[in-house]
Order: sequence, then structure tokens, then C-alpha cells
Amino acid sequence: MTLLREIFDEAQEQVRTSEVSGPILAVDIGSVNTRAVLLDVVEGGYRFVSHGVSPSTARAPWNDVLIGVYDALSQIAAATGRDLIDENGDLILSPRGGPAGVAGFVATASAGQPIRAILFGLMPDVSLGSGRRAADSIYLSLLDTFGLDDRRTTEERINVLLNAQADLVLVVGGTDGGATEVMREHLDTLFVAYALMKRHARPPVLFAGNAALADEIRERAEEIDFPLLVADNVRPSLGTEYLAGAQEQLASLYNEKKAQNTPGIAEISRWTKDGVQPTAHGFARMVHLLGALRKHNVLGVDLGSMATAVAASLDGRSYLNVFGQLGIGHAAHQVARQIPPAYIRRWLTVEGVEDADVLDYLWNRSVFPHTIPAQPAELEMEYAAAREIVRYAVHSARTSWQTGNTGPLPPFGTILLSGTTLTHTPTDGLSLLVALDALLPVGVTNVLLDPYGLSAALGAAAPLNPQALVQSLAAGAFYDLGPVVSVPGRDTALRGSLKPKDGGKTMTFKVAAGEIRPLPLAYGQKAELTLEGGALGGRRKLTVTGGALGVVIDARGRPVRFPRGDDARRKRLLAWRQALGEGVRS
Amino acid sequence: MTHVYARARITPSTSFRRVHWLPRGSTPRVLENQIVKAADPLAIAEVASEHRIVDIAAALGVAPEQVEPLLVKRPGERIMVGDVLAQKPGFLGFRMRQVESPIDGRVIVVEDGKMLLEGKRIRTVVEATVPGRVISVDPESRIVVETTGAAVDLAWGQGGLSWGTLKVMDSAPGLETEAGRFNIDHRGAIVVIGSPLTEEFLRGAIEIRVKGLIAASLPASLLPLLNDAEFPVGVTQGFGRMAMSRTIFDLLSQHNGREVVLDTGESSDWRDRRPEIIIPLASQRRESVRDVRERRPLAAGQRVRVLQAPHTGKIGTVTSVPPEPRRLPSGVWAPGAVVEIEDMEPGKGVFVAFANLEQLD
Repeated sequence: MTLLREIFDEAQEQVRTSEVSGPILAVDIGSVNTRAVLLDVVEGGYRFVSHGVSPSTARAPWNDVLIGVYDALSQIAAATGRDLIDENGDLILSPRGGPAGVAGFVATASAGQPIRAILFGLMPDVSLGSGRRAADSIYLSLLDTFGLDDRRTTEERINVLLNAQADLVLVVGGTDGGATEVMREHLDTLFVAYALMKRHARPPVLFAGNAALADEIRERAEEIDFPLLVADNVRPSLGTEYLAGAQEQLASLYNEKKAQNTPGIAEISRWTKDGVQPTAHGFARMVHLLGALRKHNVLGVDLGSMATAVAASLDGRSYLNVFGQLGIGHAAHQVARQIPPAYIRRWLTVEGVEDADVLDYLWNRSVFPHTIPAQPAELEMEYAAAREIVRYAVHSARTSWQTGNTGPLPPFGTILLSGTTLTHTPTDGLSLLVALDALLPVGVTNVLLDPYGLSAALGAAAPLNPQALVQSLAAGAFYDLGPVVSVPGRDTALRGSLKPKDGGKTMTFKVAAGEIRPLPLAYGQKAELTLEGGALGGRRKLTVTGGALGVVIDARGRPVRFPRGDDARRKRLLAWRQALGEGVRS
Repeated sequence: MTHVYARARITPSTSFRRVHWLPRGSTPRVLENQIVKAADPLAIAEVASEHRIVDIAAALGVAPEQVEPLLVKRPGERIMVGDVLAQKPGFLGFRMRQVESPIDGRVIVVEDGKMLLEGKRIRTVVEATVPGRVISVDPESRIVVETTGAAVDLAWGQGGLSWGTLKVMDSAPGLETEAGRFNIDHRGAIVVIGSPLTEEFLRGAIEIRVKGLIAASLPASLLPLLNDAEFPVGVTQGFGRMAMSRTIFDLLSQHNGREVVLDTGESSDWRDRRPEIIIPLASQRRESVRDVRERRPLAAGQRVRVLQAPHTGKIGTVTSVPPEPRRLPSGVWAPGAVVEIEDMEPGKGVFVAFANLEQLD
């Protein structure tokens, strides 16, 4: 696959591809679910052969992720007749294939305790900003940040370092070839604190600052005796940000720390070639690959229980932001600290729900993160919260995109939704509506669901055999809700026609401003869509391919405006929901 | 898949082991097979309270490399506030310039003309979270205590560990909470109500100085007020306005007046165990300790806690496990089990998603 090789070569990460042939097993260990998928060659091409899903067992009373992994693998073994685990509890790896085991294995994880880190840098808006964005690529809890504007005394900073029990210290700061003295003085605090710690208590330091200081820091690391990793400077010049080097090292540290603090990860890591990778890294790679394959911008949102990951392949660049305190399960109680309950309530059609009820709901979701909404009111609150979490996460992620975070969302040809909440809705229409309400895309956007929750694992598996990934995607790894046409502004009424390319009957349509409407087109069927409307400034023709909802015309405008008054708002929300179908997904 | 996502204990008698992780530098204070009470010290760790850097060279007006012969206190030596750390005689021995210690502690290192001081060491005590027998002591990492008793895993709690007499204030679970029932008997007790916690009731508990509070439920809007409470607070059902499960209420009522442990653990996003109530039953026969990691598929006859409205927090018994997913009132399709729930008419089962069940030990 030349294209994919080019992607790997061009990618800002140094991924080694290694042409595994034969069955490939990929596992993702989430906070709530553990999923596994088996890819194998069927009739000359790679296909999804089987998948398994089991409740994750990272937490009490099990406290061992292996239990959930064994269960997911046993489902695949039962469905395929292929033994995967030997009598010692290890994965059977048979590089040349065969009736038992697999030729390749990858694992991603987001479950378990986040990495506890301290960030050291110089300027808040320069190196510290880049350091924070690099740290955003893994599931990390930032305990403290030390910059030049820190008003604490040296003693206070040393005491923080000594008492923090951090897993990692990320050091950034200085441009390559720039002044070193300020950084040197700043780092003295760190070195004094390290000298005071017992040797085994010194967390690893990842240095991704001024390259001119790297050798000096290596010497200090040897002298004081602490583990050091050096990555390329995240801010080689004032106007350049380069995160991939630091992100790659962070992923490696993540695997190492996970193996130490999450029972079962060490065993699974031994089955892999490159360790257990952060789920978000695999997800970001999948989004970037989709962007390259489809030759347009792709946005990915993985709404998890403990964290939300936003990945973008934008104008050929790959971006990844992980929001560790923003999730719909374990972290749901943190949502209220960042998003006012009133923002969530505006999406509800049920009456009598107060801010206090929203808070209770979020706290209960946090205490029982695996639960699913059973009553209609709960379903509304779940998806109202999901809309706001996704909206907030993408808005925050945009600060790291070169396009900035003001104005409408940049045009994305594809949006990939992952995470059980987004993909396991009662209706396809609800999945689509949540995505549109939260993201407000403009132009023509295909919305894909990741129904098996395996985009991260597949992204991680891509280097094993890029062809396997491409063939699996072609065979329908994702569920296409269909293209959505949205126009910005207020004058958004659209009319036009949809002419199926198989010679079927042409339908004409009119969608009034403020409405959303699906046009019938069979899944996978191509059609010519002709559009006219004030905002378009003339007639437009384009070829579309039908998804689960056919083709959707979203004439609600950008931003979406609610009518005044609660009753009118509720009526409008219900109309949108009904337009996309309240029926049950078949 | 018939595995549920969560398991909990609501049991009149069980034996289990509790791991107490030790901070680095701990010294154990117990031996294997020793009997301990809840809150007994298991290990003691000492850590420095603070560090100070004193710039000796600057204070004495000398170059850093000239500091060494002027030192009065050297690395490793103990110091008190006001002790002279270094001094420099003035002209003809007059007007001695001195640098005094700002803290009690000891000298750690002198480098580049600066002296690093370590403050007094603070003791951290690792207390037993349950009464029982110490079955293993690993000074580097952990001490394990085994105990037998009734146990109730709570939905949520905060405030740490408390040990006291159980006082059940209600005669039945309910939704109305009457404040103003406190008397001197409740001082130092772990108080239970079968109804939601209210602000008025919480204020009463703070005023009478209870040692712990267990309620059925808690509106999340009350959480900031819990910071005023110097005792742990736990809820059995969850957040909002819910009555206590009859099964839990009866179990706690049965042990009214006994010594209990309310352990809500650390207030942390990462929990390796649930907040819990332990009622030690020393006189009962010791039961064999079950492997808590054992994972049993859900089957008819098993007890479960329901986490699905409108039965959230109720205890029930699985009557069947349908092979196919069913549609919940919300429209979500999910695999699940039919459960007969306490307080409901026998024979009337409710379909509950596996995701909304806790398997009970």
C-alpha cells in the first residue's frame, strides 16, 4: 500500500511498519468496556472475522485488566474455533499463522489511573502551552505547572515536587539555540528536589526543551541518578510547534507507567511488539489515515467514560487532544465544573428538570459509570450532556489547530464518532443529531460511527499490516450515517433534487430555514444532488453516497438558534428529533 | 455475555482481606497474626515538613567557594531555630557576621555557597481500616488485615475512616427526613437514616458531633456543605432523593448499637475499592476468604443491586436471563436479566440491563 507507507513516512511519528501476514488481534482496554477484534484473510482480503466485548476489570473488586481481556478473547475463540490463549495464560503468537493463535497483536488502553505529571517550562503562552498540548496526547493528570511567572518561593516549589508523588516530570522551554541561562536556573529547583528524593522515588524526566541543554541535562541525570528521556524540542522556534517527538516518548512512558500501576498491563505488554499504546494515539492514527485515504479533512471524537479524545487530520496535519477530566462516566461529575448545567438543560424536551437534577444525574453517572439510560428523561440528560461535552472538547481542541478556535468549524469531509454513548443510541437519527448539534459542521460531511469501538485498536494495528487496515475499512468497519449538507448563516432554506445513479426516480425537495430533513437514498447507493438556496449563491451539483439516513439536509443555520420561550424551544427540538426518525435502529 | 460490570457486597457475614498500602519509608508497628482494632496504627512513616535554602555566601558577603571554612553546621547536623549556621569574623575579630537557622530540622547539603535545610519530620500513621488479624506484613509496600463481619458497599462516600457505635434513627426507609431528633446519645455515634440527607439534618449532625453519617441518598447540590463536616458521610443508593433499600436498612437495623467501621477511603477519582460499612462479628465462626477476583456469570437465583430508575439502589433476585437483548423504556436495546425487586409484588419481574446491575456477594 504505497499511500499508507507514504503516510507513515510523512507522519510526524516514526512508525515502523512490519508486514505481518496472517490473523491480527487487536485489543482496546477502556474504562468501562474491553474490546477485541480479530482480522484475518477471507477470500483474498482482510475482513473483520470476529469481535468480543466484556466489562473492563481494571477497578475493584477485580483490579486486573487481564480478566476482562481473557473474557473478550474467549468470545472470539468460541466464535471462530481458534485457540488464542495457551495453558500458561499467554497469548499464542504464531508468526506464520496456523490453526491456533495469531500472527500479530496490538493493544491500546485508556483504563486505569491517569499518569500524574508535573510540567516545567518558561513562558505560559509559549513553551508551557506547547508542553500542555503535548501532554494532552495521553491520559494524564497535570498536578502542577512551574513557569517563569510562578510566584512561589524556591522552597515552596521544592516542597511541591517532593510531596507530589508524580509519575513524570515534563520539561519544556527555550527555543533551539536560544538563551540557556534562564532555563538552567529554573531547572536547579528540579535538580535540588531530585537530589532530596530517595533514588527509587525519582520520577522520570522527559526533556523536550532547548536542544542545546540536552547534554547538560543528561550529565545531571547521571550525576543525580534519575531516569531521563530526551525528545525534540516542542518549541524549536517561537513560531514553530513540534509535538510529535514528545508525544511519542509520552506514549512510551505511558506504557511503562501503566505496566507498573495497572495490574495486567505488564502481561499484555509482553504479548505486543511495541507495548500497550494509549487508546487516543491509536484513534488519532486512524483519523489521520482516514484523512489520507479520503483525501479530505477528518475530525474524530471519542467520547469515553473517563476522558474525551479529539483527533483531527486537518490540511495534512495530525492533531490530538485528550481531555482527561471530561467524560460521560467516571469523569461525569467533573463536567459540571466546566460546563454550566443550564447549557445541558437547553437540549432537554422533558419538563421540570432543574440544574440540581442535572447535577444528580452527572454524579450518579460518575458513581456508576457503566450504567445506561433506562428512562426517557435519563436518555435526554445523557445526550444533552454528551452534546455539551463534545462541543466543549472540540472548542478547546481548536486552540491547538492552526486554524484557531473562532468562527465556524473548518470544513471536515468526514466526522468519526467513537465511544459507546455516541454509537449505541436507540436510533441512528439521535447519533447524527447529537454530532450535528455539538459540532455544527458546514459543507458536506459524512458522519461515521465506530460501532465496535475498535478504531483505536485498528489504528494501532495499522503498522503491522497497512493493507489489512485498508481492506477492513473497505469491508465496512465503520457505519456510515450518510452525508449531511449544512450551510452557514441565516438564509439557509434549500431546494433541489436527488437523482439516484442507478436510474431510480428523481425526487425534488424543499427544506425551510430552521429545519433538518433526511432524503431517502439506499445505503451505499450513489446519487446526484442538486442544491439551490440563498446561502449557496447559485445552483450546486455534487455526487453523494447514501448512508443509514440517506442524505441529510441541515438547514437550521450556523449557529443553531432556538426560538424564545421554553415551550417553543422544546417543540423545535422535538421536531428535529422526529425529522431524523424516532424509530428504533434495526 | 452475561457478566455484569460491577460487584458489591451487601452481606450479613463474610470474611475478607483488606490491603493497607504503605507510604515510602514506613516502619511497621504490627506483627503477623497480631489482632488489631479499627484505627490501630499499623505503620508509621516520617517525612520532612518543609525545605529551606539559605544563601550563606550572599548573607556573609563572600564568594561561594569561600563558604566552606565559615560553616558552623555541616550536612547531617541537627539544627534549631536561631542556631548559627555559618559565621565570618569582622575586622580584627570584631563585628562577627552570622547566619541563623530559620527552622528546626537538619542540614542536608551545602553547594554553591547555599545551604539546604530540611524541616522537622512529620509522622504519618497508617491506621487499620478494619478490625481483625494481621496476615502479612511487607514493610516495603503493604500490610494485610483479615476480618469477618457484615459488610455493605456504599454507592458513594467521602471524609475518610470512622469507627463508632451504630445508631439507626428511623424505623423504616422513607423519603421524608426529620431533623431535630438528635440527642446526646448520637454524639460520637455513626448515625443512619433511611431517607435522603438534607441540609438541616446535616447541620444537626455537625452540631451534635456525630462520628459518621449514613443516609439513603444525597442531593449533589449539598456536596459543598459536606466540607463543614469533620466526619465521613456515605450514601447507600446514590445522588438525588431516594429511600434506602429495605434489605440494607434491615441489615443495619439488626446491628443497631454495635461498633461499626464507616470507611469512605480517600477522596479520589481513582478508587481501587468502594466506600463501605463493616460490622465486625468477632464471635462468629471464621469463614473461608473468597477470591474477590472470581468472576461469575449472572444466573437465576443470584442477588443483585438494581441501578436503573425507578428502582435505583433496590436489591433483587435474578429470576431469568433472557438470551436476547430487550428494549428499555428509553428505547435503548440491551442484554439483561429479569429481576424480582424487594418491596414489589412477588412474581412481577422487571427487565434490567446488565449494565444497570451490580452482582452481590
